[in-house]
Amino acid sequence: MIFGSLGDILIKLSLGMYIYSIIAISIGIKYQDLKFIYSGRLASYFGTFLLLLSTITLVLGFVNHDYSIQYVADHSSNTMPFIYTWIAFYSGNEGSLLFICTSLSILLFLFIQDKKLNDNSINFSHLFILLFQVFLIISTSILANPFTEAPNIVQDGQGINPLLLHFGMFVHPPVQMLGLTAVVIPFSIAIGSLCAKNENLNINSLRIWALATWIILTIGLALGSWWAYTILGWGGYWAWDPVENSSLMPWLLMTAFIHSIMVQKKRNMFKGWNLFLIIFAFFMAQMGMFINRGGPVPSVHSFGSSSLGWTFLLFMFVSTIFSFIFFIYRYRSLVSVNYVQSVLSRESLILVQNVLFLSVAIITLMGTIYPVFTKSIEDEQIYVGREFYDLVNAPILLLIMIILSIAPFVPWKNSNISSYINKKIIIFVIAVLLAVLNSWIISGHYWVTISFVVLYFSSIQILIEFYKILKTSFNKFKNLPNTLFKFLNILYSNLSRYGGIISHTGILLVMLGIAGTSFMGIEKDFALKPGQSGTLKNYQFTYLKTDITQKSDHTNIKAIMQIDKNGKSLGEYTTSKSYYPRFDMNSTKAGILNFGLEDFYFSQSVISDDNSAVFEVKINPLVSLIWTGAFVVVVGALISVIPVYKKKDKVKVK
Amino acid sequence: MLNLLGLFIIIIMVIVILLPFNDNFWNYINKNKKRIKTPLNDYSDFELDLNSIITDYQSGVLNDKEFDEHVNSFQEIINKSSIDKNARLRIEQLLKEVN
Amino acid sequence: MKNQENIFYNRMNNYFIYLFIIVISLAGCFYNVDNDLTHNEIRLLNLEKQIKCPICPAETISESNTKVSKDLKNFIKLKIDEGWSDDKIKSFLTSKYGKEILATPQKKGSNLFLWIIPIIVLIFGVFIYWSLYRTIRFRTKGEQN
Repeated sequence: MIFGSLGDILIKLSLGMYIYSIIAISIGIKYQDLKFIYSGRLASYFGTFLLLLSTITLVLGFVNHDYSIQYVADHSSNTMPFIYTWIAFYSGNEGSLLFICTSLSILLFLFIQDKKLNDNSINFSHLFILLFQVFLIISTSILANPFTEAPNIVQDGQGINPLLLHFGMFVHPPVQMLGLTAVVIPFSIAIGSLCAKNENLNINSLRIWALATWIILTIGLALGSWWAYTILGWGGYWAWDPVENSSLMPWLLMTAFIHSIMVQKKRNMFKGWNLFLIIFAFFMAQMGMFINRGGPVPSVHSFGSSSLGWTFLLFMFVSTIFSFIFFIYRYRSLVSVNYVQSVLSRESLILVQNVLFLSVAIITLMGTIYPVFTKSIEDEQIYVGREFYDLVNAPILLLIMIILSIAPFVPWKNSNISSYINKKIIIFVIAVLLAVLNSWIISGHYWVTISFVVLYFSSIQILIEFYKILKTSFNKFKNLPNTLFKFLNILYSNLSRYGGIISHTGILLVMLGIAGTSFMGIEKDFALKPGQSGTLKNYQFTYLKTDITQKSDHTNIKAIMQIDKNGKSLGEYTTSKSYYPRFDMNSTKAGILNFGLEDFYFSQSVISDDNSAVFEVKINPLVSLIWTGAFVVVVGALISVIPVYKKKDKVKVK
Repeated sequence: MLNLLGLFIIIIMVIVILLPFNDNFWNYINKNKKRIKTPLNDYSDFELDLNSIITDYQSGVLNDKEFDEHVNSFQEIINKSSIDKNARLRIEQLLKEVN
Repeated sequence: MKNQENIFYNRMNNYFIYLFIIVISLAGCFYNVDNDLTHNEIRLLNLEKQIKCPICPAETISESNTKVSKDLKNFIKLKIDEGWSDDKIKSFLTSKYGKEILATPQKKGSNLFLWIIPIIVLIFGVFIYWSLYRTIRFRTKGEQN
């Protein structure tokens, strides 16, 4: 069939378009010729169109089981569920690269919409995005082409990795890849404005794209941990695996970045620092793509290619070094007049938060690449397990949480420490009392108590804030509809703040979920014969039987448990394990019962011939707060991103 | 067949990227031109100062007493400094609204 | 005079309040849980996180559900019940499988470097904050005059 050659041609044509685009934009900038700029933009639009078509042909190749394409044969089969053929294209190295190229082209399309032609900072930014795009397309087309022809056409393909046959496959990989790719946009905006000698780094555009990138990365992370929780069978959601770390590190840096650009916008400071952060964030995002496909660090889910990884590494170092050189060269234009005046000011606290996030990112990076060093120097394969990261990163994250509960309620510029303490002492006392009360009821570990203190301290401040606004609105109008209107008006006048506060609340929920599962969680293995029972805390469970069903490409072993809580029957629940002989791999589906604030989690491991089985039973308190919290975080961020049109803003200065 | 398709796409590509070099194209574009947002963030640093004081007060981070203190010290500073005339006008306007 | 005395007493009152709060919160903190797991079971959970699954690319026996991991878990459970200490168990496993069996790098030898990294990073972090705070202050003070 023609899908293969058509897809290949389309990629190469898009490459031609983008190269032309680079040339046209460069000429346009140099000679200030708007015709060339516009032509270059049209070429970019066309490139998006071509890459989309190319991706569609690949998808159609999968859906039609076109095994004349080697990649389709490697990652699908006749027996795989039909719906998965639509997304299998991004399950492997080559296809995911094509996905990344296409996502970048769509982001580029959105970026240049509605932008003035003579705005050189936009044009320079466009140029840098194009350079990255061209690099990606050349890598795909030459080193990892998904449309390579199969030397001989097989009857049936290899099939998709069984661990990927899960709802998470539909959402996590595309969002995650989109997020990592999207980091190049704020990076290019910053570097592009620097090239165009735009002093404020195009702050409005930079802020919106940084937030958009951050939102996508957050969703990707949340989906990934949720997926790991339901599919991997050990009852946890984060193992500090190298690939997990590689998606966390850009997120950490982008989180620092979205706060420090707020300082830039409000106080015109930290421009140099921002530039440093975004260069580092882009470095981390590329590191993420490298670890994902490079292979020097063994991981549960790397694609495992070889030469491609090193190409990415090379581009990463070249782009970072050039950016830093350019940054140093233009540094003087970034220095600002304002300065951090006092330790207890919002700028100062944000700077501390930035440093803390940076520390977590660097420590995680060191831990992730440490095995590579020991392998090359001492030829030992060291494994850095999650205990290291948990021990070292947790205190820093707690410090960040404490800052989170203080900074939004501290003024800009400067503030008096003793007056701050005097104002907040009552709130702190109430928070501590509530947290202690909680600990006595839920029986918590001291980490949980501390987290509760921070949560209550922050929530009370947030509630007071909203209450004050409500009171002012009511005092002005004294009737309900107008009050509501005025309340919403005040919120609308400062959407970025209130959106941020909502996001912070979400983060607090996530942290509480993490504290709960880490410090109040209980886990135990039970070896049971059919008919035998076990007890864990207030749950009683009886292993009833095992059903073994043979499907066409896998064997499904399903264990059925009767579960009771506090003596009352909850019904029968199952956990299953599917063995795929072709992959010699097991995919587990754990039984998860959710009770609002607690999860009862059980999965089976070994089943012997006499049907006796070993069950891993785990009680995860507060784990659903993690998913709920992530959702709240995204909602809050979306609220702050909504553009606000104020009449005052139409006045142009200088 | 594939070659023809490829050729067809290339022809369209060339037409598209050569469009901006035709003057009629610009007439057509300008007729349907949408209003492009004019972003601006060229406030002087002193205006940023005043703005942050006002937002802090409105969001309850500063109470009445602190707000007055901050505004007074701000007024002292700008009376001593030289500011661009337009900026000074805007600042005076804001201060009037605030009081 | 009287005013100053008042301020002093206010300050002292504040400090006593802070002290009182810290004491109360610590008291609440020490109300401990974990009556649901025996001491040995807790030791088992901690040790599981420290032993790597020998045949998996990147998992500890706590996360892996391969048979090898389960066997190792049972072995450790047995030895804990027999009275072996954590170190004895770990050195036995190391002698049998090599150093690669340890998931958390030891705090000695060349791996000490890994544990020092966080300290270096935090010191570096303080330095970054301090330098950004100070240099900008000095420079702009100069410019304003």
